[in-house]
Amino acid sequence: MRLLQRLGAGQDDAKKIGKKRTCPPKLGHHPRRHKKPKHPLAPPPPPPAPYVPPAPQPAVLPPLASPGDAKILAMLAATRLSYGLRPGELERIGHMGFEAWVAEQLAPAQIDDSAADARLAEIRATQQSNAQLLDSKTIQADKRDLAHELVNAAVVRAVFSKRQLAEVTTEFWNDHFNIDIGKSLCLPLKFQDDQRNRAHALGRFRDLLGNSAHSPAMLYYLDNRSNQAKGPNENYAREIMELHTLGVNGGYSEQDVKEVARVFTGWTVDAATGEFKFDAARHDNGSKTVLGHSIGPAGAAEGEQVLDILASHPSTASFIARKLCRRLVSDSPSDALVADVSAVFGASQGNIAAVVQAIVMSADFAASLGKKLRRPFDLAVAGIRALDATVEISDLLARAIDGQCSAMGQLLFRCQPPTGYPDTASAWLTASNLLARWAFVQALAGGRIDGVKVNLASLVGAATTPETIVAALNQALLDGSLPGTSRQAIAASLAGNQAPTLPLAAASLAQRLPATVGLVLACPDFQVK
Amino acid sequence: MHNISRRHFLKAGAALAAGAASGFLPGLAFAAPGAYRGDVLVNVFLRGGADCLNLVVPYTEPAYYANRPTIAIAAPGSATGAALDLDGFFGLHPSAAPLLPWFQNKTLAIVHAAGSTDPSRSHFDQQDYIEFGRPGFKYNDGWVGRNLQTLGLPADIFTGVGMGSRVQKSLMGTIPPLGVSSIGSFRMPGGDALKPVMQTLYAGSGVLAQTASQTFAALTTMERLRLAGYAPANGAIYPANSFGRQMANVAQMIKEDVGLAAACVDLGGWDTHDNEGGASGTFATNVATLAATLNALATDMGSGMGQITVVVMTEFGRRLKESASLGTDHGRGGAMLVLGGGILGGKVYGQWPGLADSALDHGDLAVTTDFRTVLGEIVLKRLGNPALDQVFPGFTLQPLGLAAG
Repeated sequence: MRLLQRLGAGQDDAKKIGKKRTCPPKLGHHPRRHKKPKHPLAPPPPPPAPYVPPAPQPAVLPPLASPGDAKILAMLAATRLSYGLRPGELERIGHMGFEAWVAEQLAPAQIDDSAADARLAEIRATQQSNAQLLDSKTIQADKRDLAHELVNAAVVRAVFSKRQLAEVTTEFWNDHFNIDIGKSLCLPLKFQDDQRNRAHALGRFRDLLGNSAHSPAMLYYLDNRSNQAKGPNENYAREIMELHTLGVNGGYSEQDVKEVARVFTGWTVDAATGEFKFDAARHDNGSKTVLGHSIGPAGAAEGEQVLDILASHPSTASFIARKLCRRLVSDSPSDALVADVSAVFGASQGNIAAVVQAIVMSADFAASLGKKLRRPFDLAVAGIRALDATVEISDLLARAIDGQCSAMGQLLFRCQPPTGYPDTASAWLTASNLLARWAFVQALAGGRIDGVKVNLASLVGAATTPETIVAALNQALLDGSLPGTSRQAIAASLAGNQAPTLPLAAASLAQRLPATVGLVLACPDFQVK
Repeated sequence: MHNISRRHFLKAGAALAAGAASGFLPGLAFAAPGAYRGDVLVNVFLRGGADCLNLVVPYTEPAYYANRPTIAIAAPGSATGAALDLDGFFGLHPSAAPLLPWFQNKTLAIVHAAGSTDPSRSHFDQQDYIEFGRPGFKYNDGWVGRNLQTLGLPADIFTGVGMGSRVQKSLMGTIPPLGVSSIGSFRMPGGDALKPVMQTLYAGSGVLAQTASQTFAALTTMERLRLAGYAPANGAIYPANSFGRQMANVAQMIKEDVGLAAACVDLGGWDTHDNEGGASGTFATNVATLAATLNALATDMGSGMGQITVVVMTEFGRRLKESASLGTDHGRGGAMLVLGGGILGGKVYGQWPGLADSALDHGDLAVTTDFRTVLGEIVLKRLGNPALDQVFPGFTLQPLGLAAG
């Protein structure tokens, strides 16, 4: 993104950054030499043009090879880079090969996702504008619950989308640019915010950052919509540096926080449309200094300049690299890996597809199977995928998934602090949360999660003895990775008083199979990925 | 009503057997064997940086009103929603009315302009510094965890309990803390018959196995508490929200003598950058929850408060000047509340720096009392732990004199 030339004093009209300019007067390329006197009957200047997010540009990446074992890589692809095994998925990935699968997934726009899109079309909020979603009267009259629609959309995408790596990465950005839908108008505005994170999930970091800074949901969440010259609000200025780019030790000062707050004065939300608006009347027109750079006065362009500085700062490269490694590899990624990935971030100017490619082709990644704990939402959708359950989109489904994740310790889309959900096992594991995980998988297998229908018999096939049944479940749900002691214990539990090698009567099997499937899903092996 | 008593006996070698994992402070000494006679510590953390200037209002300071034309709390007596006078200089936010009697009967002490010596206004850094017990440092264990360890308490399941969906960092230490969302939901799904097979599935090492092992060990006791139900004593009513319910659970665990030595409970929602409100609004609602819950606990415990110390803290206070969005940004100095039978209450401790421009720290209330001064005195006198150099490394205590013992 080109940095616009600094404008002369007094030129603080909103500027639309991007490919098209429709807003006279043209600035930047053509410095004014003499001001034309205003004709007394001249029409008022047009309102500032709305924010148009940049078009995503697919990455063209050179092929890389992984040093890992093909079978393990396929499992990692299915469980870490996707939302869990589905029937047939491991075969497909194994057949194409890991590198080809990664290449396919890093170009999500080219993956036909019509099946998932058809299901998403059932969720009205995904098809509506901010203005429509802010019309709470109509929404209430239609008896719609937007929080339920948001949860349902997340479930549908995780379970049904073929663009799995893009969805996993979108979730990363939703966490990174955290928004709590419990605050103010964040809920109706979150749909657009999520969609823009999705459009650029494997795109350029500068575009993600720019979208977030302009996001009406973010402007409400971190209060920048109230940030104005006569009373600056520092919340967003602090968090954009501490949490979104440089990191807390990335080299900014309290003075920088104050200056960045001044830069973003006037970045607000248009009450009528629910879209971004630059309010020049609220903007602090003085000069600022941010991280040693002189900024402004240049109206909205000052903010773009600061975003450029933050996105290209070396601390940002290592901060984002470490977070992505923690998400995709392990809770404590090695400094060496982070350094390599950070270098790719820098060299590619924040090309996230290149960064993700570097991570998943690393030796650390290839050796990391089982090292990440599934977070509650992960577990929920992994369970649904593993059982190949059918999903009926309704308020009941949303309430069920939301309630289960909440019991397991994750309030969906309602992480109050701007750090977003934590990404280490110890943050999620308490005795209560573990009990809730066991309760969830039992309810899922038992057909007691509203909106989710399971057909367990299809997992078992022709097996009739506890031993062979558990073997079949182990294969279908865990690709055969369950240890012997666990298999024996589950088979013994299924067999009851009989030997586990004796066939079960059909009625006994039907009655006991849900608890047995619940035990397999409760195993530590299914709690991790 | 159960008598409150704790009968902890140091099992020979139990403390050593608890294991010193790497990363914990080396060379910790253990207290001599014997019964733990210290208070149960209840550590309440107000997450988000609570606006302590509106909680404990310096109502005789003109600068307070000059800087908060919209959200200031009126001086006592002058209006509805006015502050409740404490000592002629400070007043309580009106929604904290349930705490006033405890101040007046000297159970509640307040320390104002308290906080961390580190100037960071980052929530996450400052919460960590406070929980790890040393500004500027991040350890693998927290001050409460180190306290439990250096007291030589047994690594029993209920020695340290963290209420909520995540165990507080201050509890981390060689005695693994138990994380409990609620007593009511703490049960084995599918029934106890599944416990043996689950134990087999979760045998082994690693954080999943360790958490499972704790879970199994806690189940029997938790079921007993759950089935018994809980009726607070003395007409105490805990608020019907998550914070109130968690505090009631803590009360039940104390009364049921499960071996609780320290409990941590969080209350969030204090990061009021926007539309904080004054006597009513977001902040006021939160204050009401806090006050009603502490009042319920103290009422419920009755004379048992003689063996309990509650300390309430936050990572920092908020800016003196209100923002254009009628909230406040992150500040420095805050306030701490200390509640217990062994506390010399009825006083606002600390050195009030005043609100003159020259006295402010970059526009914020300055910190004149290190939070460790308050916690250190509690650890020494109420919890009976002299190993302060290990609980708060790098710190020397000069007590305010707010605790007996």
